[in-house]
Amino acid sequence: MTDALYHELILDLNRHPLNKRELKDFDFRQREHNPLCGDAVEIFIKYSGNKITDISWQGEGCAISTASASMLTDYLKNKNKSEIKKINQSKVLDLLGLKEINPARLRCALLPLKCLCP
Amino acid sequence: MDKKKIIDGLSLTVKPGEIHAIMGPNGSGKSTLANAIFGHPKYTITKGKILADKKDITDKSPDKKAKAGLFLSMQNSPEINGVTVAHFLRVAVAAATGENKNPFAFHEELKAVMKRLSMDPSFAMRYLNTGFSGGEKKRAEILQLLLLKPTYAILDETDSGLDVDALKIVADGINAFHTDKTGLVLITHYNRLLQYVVPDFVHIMVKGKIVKSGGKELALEIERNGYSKY
Repeated sequence: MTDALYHELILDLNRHPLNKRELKDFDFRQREHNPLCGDAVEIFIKYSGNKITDISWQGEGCAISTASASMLTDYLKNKNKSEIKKINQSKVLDLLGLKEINPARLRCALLPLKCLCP
Repeated sequence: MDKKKIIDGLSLTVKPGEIHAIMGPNGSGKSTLANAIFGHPKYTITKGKILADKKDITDKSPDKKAKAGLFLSMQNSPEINGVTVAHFLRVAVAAATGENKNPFAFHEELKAVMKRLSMDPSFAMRYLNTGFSGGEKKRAEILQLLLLKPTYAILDETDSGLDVDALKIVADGINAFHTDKTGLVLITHYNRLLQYVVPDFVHIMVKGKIVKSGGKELALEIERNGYSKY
């Protein structure tokens, strides 16, 4: 796949984010923000035992942080709680189809992950 | 403009699970039938009805017909410059299903189907049908068929202009689409495609009418004797 396509998919997620809603009934909630650019992301998780039965996010940010929050919540939906700990920087970039990203945008991409591992 | 009656007194029922082949000489109205079903502005339906799953869709717009589960692969697919294959398919599938899928997950599916059709991944980033060879256009049609997953598909000469290998790939794609829940109409001149995608019924269309219907053996008879006796 080419870079142009990844850009298109990221922009598409920016226009149509996934799982972007507030959970009224949640077991976990964490908000993080990036003071440099003003992006803010808040993640909600509902567990049933060790299973992530629902996960969502809310916030305002750039295309990269919006796409990252969308992909991360979509990836974790219906997975075991233990999967959260396995997510690292390279997994997030992998979900976004990015091999590298400039350091300033990396903060945007990793902001949702910061909510999960504050 | 001249008004000419092209199709007259034609009735055809395609049930899920069935494959129908419509054969006929040039100018017999096969493509007109396919285009008129989908509401091509060149044609007016003066009488008769188009029903999809018992619902009357005669006067519906083409997008509504697509949402009702219909699909048409046109004989000459239009070139759409500036819209990539990947973008077109993603938006079309979202519109047809009414569901906004994870675009990355969709792309994985797209890649898998393209591989099955022996298409290079870079194909996804080319503008739809623009500068495509005849074979590439037909493959792009089958790609749409496999991703849009309609209930009823009309394929108008999807076999024309294909070499033997490409024909096999296209036939394999059509067979992958066809299940006991999908109905298929193949419009073709030749028996060639029908050797790979075996029809349950073959209809001979001449001058806007179905003049004879039979099983797959009818296609063989046409290949031997031509249409002259009809």
